[in-house]
Amino acid sequence: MEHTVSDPLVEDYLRRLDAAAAGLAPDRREDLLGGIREHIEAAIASGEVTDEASLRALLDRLGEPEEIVASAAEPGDPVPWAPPPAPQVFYRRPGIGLELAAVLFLTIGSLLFVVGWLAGVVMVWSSRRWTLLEKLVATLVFPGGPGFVAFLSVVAVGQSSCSSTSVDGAGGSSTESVETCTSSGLQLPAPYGAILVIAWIVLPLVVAGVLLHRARRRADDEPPIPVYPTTRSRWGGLEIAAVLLLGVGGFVVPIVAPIAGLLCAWMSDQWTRSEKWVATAIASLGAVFPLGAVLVLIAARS
Amino acid sequence: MFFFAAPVAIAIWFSGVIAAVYLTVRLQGRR
Repeated sequence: MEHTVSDPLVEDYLRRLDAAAAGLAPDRREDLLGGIREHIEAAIASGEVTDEASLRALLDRLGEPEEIVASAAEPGDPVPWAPPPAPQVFYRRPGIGLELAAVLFLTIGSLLFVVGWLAGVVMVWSSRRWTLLEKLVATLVFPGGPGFVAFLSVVAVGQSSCSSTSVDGAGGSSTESVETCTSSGLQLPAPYGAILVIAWIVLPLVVAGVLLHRARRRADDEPPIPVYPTTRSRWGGLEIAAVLLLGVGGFVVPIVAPIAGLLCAWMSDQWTRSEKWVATAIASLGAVFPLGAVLVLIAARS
Repeated sequence: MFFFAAPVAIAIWFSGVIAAVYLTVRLQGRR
């Protein structure tokens, strides 16, 4: 069989060469394709190619079309197309940062007045790893957390004072000492008060431990999270401003700085909508709680 | 007046700090 450049093998080779040279300048591409075509035609005309094996040998000697284009390319030419290397994907265990923070705020954080405990409650209800019943238990055992009962025991519970006065006895012959005691604040019979205080401190810790354990177990049942290497940091100007204004700014310029921080957080596209709502709710607790206390005081006076 | 203002200011500041910590944890956890 006589071979020509219209041979399917040659046509296929030239088509691959044409595709690989797609990134070259049009005139260079024409030159390259024309040169290779002439080379093949010359080899066929000279009788070098007699059968399919010799044709394949000729094409092998020419090399892969992609290699020809790569060697013909000059600096600045686009590299022949090649599939991009697959991104290296790592998997990590789902974290329970939110649940850990919630538990810490419900227990230790309750020492930050009542605000810390309320922040813990917001986090508990924003987690999807606890059931409704568990969230209710976390909220109701016990309201205010251990910090609140510690505060109560120092400030409000059972303050009593006694004073003695001398009273003249009958006929002025002797004096008697009369002791009068007054007490203020919350008074509970001795054993019950102690039990309540201990329960108020211990039970939240027990509940916190159980809930954290359950959250960890449920997180382990979830599929691992793929981690794609990213070159762009998630921390842009808006994110840094939001955290600094909320964290530090509130100390320097109360109310205004936290509001500005929340605005920055809402303008950022790095946090989800629900995360922004949770942060807004937490940051508002500090304003809502004193406002409620003031309203209660006003109501009590009138 | 100061008796009321100081705890209120501290409470507002604390809640801002907690919100900042929350946002930081969420952003760091997503890497």
